[in-house]
Amino acid sequence: MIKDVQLPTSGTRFGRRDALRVGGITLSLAALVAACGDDVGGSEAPGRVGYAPPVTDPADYPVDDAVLLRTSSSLENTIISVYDEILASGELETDATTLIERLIEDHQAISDEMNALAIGAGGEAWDCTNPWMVDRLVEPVMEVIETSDDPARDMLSFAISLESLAAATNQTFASELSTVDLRAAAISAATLESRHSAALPIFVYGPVSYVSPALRGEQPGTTSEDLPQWYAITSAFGSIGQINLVIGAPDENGTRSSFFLQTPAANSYIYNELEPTC
Amino acid sequence: MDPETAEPASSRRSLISAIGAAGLASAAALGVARPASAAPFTTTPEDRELLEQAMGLELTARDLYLETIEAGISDDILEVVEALSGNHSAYAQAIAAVIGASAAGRNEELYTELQPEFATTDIEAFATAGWNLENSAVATHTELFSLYESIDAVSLTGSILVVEARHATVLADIGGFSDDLDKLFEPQAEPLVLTGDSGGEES
Repeated sequence: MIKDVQLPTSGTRFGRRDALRVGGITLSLAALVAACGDDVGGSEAPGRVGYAPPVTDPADYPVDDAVLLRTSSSLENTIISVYDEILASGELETDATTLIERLIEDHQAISDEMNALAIGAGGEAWDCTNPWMVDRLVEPVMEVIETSDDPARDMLSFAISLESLAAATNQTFASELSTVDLRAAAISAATLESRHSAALPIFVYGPVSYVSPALRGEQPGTTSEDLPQWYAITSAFGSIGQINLVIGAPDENGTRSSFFLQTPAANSYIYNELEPTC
Repeated sequence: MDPETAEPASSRRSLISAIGAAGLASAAALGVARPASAAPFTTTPEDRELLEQAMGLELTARDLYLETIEAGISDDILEVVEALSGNHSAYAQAIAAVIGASAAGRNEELYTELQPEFATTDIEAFATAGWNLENSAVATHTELFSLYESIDAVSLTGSILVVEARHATVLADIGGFSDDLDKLFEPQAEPLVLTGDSGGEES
């Protein structure tokens, strides 16, 4: 006689594995529904990992001719303040001092002209430096120069980069200003600052700095201290791209400090709504 | 040639004879009064006429530097001369692209006048001739800059003339007069008079 035995089957029992499986699926579906739902709450800002300064949105003010002209003037004033600090340091030789003094005169003349044009365009003159540039560029760069292995070299490198920045800025504004006479003033400033920007590398490095090898499709060179070589003629057309400034004493890995200079944008414009900071 | 006593290039030539002096003056007056914010993006027929003259100037500059190379200028500055010729060729090509034409048609009158100054192996003489040419080109493009109507023409011209100013600075140093900061930064140059006498030279 065969004993009638009922064996357990998996189809009829609900085990621990099944519970975990079902639970996982349920949680996943819940997360999916929550993500796709209409009532999503919380911050919509992109996720941020690690420590970083809070993001500040650029001001939402209108940009007109007066803003561009005031911004140009602020850049000129910033350069003058840097050159004044360089001269006050006493690090430069006599010839370099004479050259920097001439550059100050030229930048003051441009600043005065841009301010006069800003008033004519319905704005107010801006006799201060550019606060954004001073905070984010000038002060950090000057701190590095203070502890540099060759402050005079780095001061002149900073001057070359500032002249290139001023030329690029006014070249850019020359296409953005709304009347022909304002455009003409901006392109004249860009032309003069291009001459400055070409004269400084020649003054510092001599004929080796006449023309960048990049014009021949070759890699630009480096100095005897393995710093990027500055050139008088860097490209066939006027560049408005960012400028890389490498200065300071090398660290234990031989790495120096790098800064990137960019033409003014929404975060560094001198809007008509801004109050003078000087 | 002593740059101090050099005759300004402008006194030998006058700008854009195709539209005439009176036409230029009235165009300049209109240009200053005209708000550029309403400027078209692409070149107008008037722009193209002026840009064609500018292209002729650039092709002339390219060929003048080639004259110096063919004359056998010293290897010390050969790379510089080649770069200057190459840049002016690039400007002609860029202008040709904007106006939708071939980069052809140097200014024969200007070329014939300046060719003897550039066909030399004397570095100082070459540098002075080049310095005069570059500063005159800057002055010419600056003048044209105020006459153009389109954003295309303005942007391209701006990016050309700022580098030609750099060319002039290098040539001043090669010529040995870069210590004179007034001459280096404020050269007295007048716009060239471009006759549009095209020789039809192909690039």
